[in-house]
Amino acid sequence: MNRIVSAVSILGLMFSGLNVEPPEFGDSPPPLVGFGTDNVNGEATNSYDQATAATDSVHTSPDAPKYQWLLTLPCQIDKAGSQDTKCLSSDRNAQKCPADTEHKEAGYLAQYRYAPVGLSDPEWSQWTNDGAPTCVYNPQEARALLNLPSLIAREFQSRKIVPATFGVQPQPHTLIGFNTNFYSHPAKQTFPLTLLGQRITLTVYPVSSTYDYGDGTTLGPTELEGSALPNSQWGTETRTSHAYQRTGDFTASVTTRFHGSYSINGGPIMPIPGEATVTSPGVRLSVWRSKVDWYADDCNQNPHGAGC
Amino acid sequence: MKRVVSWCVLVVLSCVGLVACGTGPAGPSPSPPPTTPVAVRESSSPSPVVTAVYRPATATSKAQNVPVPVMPEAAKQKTTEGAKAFVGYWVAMLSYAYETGDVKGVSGLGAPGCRLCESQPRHIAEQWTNGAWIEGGKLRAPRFEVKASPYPGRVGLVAQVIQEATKVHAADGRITGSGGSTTSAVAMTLDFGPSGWTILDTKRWVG
Repeated sequence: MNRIVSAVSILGLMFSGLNVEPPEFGDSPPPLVGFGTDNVNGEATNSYDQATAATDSVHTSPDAPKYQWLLTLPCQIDKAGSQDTKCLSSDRNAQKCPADTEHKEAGYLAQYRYAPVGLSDPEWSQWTNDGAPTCVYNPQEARALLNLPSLIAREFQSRKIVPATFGVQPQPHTLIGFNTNFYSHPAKQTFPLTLLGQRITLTVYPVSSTYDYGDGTTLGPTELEGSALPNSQWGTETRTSHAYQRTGDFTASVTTRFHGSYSINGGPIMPIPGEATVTSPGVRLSVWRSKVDWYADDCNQNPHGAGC
Repeated sequence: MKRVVSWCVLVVLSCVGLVACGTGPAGPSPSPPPTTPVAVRESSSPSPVVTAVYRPATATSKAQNVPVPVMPEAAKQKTTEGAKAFVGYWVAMLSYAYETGDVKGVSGLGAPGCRLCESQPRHIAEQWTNGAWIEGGKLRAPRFEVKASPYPGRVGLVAQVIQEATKVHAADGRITGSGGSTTSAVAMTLDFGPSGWTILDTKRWVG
């Protein structure tokens, strides 16, 4: 038990310094010059977004991590935890991660690398932690660290994500040809958890919604969330509204795609591969035909008259 | 005579070596052939005559004799490899513009409405005013990934663009702007017309 506790505290130490983003995206004001300073994520000036049309997974969620990360042990310990004997006597490790009061033996230098998301085989840049080395002191720790991403990916898939709030106006009855308003409000969700003794913050954030109107028509995937209309504006056409073309009972629903990110002990925010889709409970709608009749009777005088 | 010939071969080889080191992508990668700047002019005499020596910008002087990137033959081909080579050329021209303030060459490579193609030259020209110059800021594109394009005949791809740290020096040498080195992924759509490739649109993958 003692052993486990000490391993955990060492890992905690390892990441305690990792709360700095790469230089250009920190809390300090953005750099004034360079390729990374253009704000070009706004509306396309073309009639359609040509750059993103080519790449359907481009999205602009403010919660999306900008970088993918890779942990390497330059003086290597492989996934099975075995170690290169040359490294045991390596000066570099001993220099950067010397033995101290907490560690009887010198550790191994660990190095994070980062690259922009969007490429499956990027060139990795070395991440510098303000000169402070990240050290691993035994093969078990290294193995735990190298396994964390796959454990987190599994956690992401098994989390119960709260579906988007789904609204329909009017409901449960609407009229044929009437602009029935739909909206969905998906929320970013944070799950604190502990994995291999590490404090992990797992965040899921919505990237798109697909509306299923129940009559065979759908909208999306789209980033449009729509919004509730005041009663006086019901029937107004919105970007997510739908006018049913036939009468009947339909079940409308919305499915939200979520992406995930995580950080270890308050360290850099890293993306989780894959995505999760969550469908909100459906709303049953009866689409009616309206019929207009004209009556000449005064209901005050003849309360039992037609239409009264 | 034989001696002279072999000497020439040696000279040419060493020049090629120099050029390749200058801007070529590092390591084995599916990148297009590097855009080769003309660093050394051919000479009729057997000894190499280097007409101009390239010197990168420093804290006290502008870059000198920056080689102008030449569009590689590969960038004229109507293939996805050609599109990659063309994007490599665009990045090389952008890098040249950062180093020299000359944005003419890079400005013609994008279609009207192409976001980064328009905003970057504007941004560079803004820095190079009143005798100011840029130190660093060189760009390269080490990786390309072709993505499916919904438009027939067009190529969609994502390029990784890496820029070294950038400093702007005012005429008196003061640093008036700076940026750290950056690595970013840029989504692009290209079209092949009668005059070759054009970049229809570009934007960063994540904002």
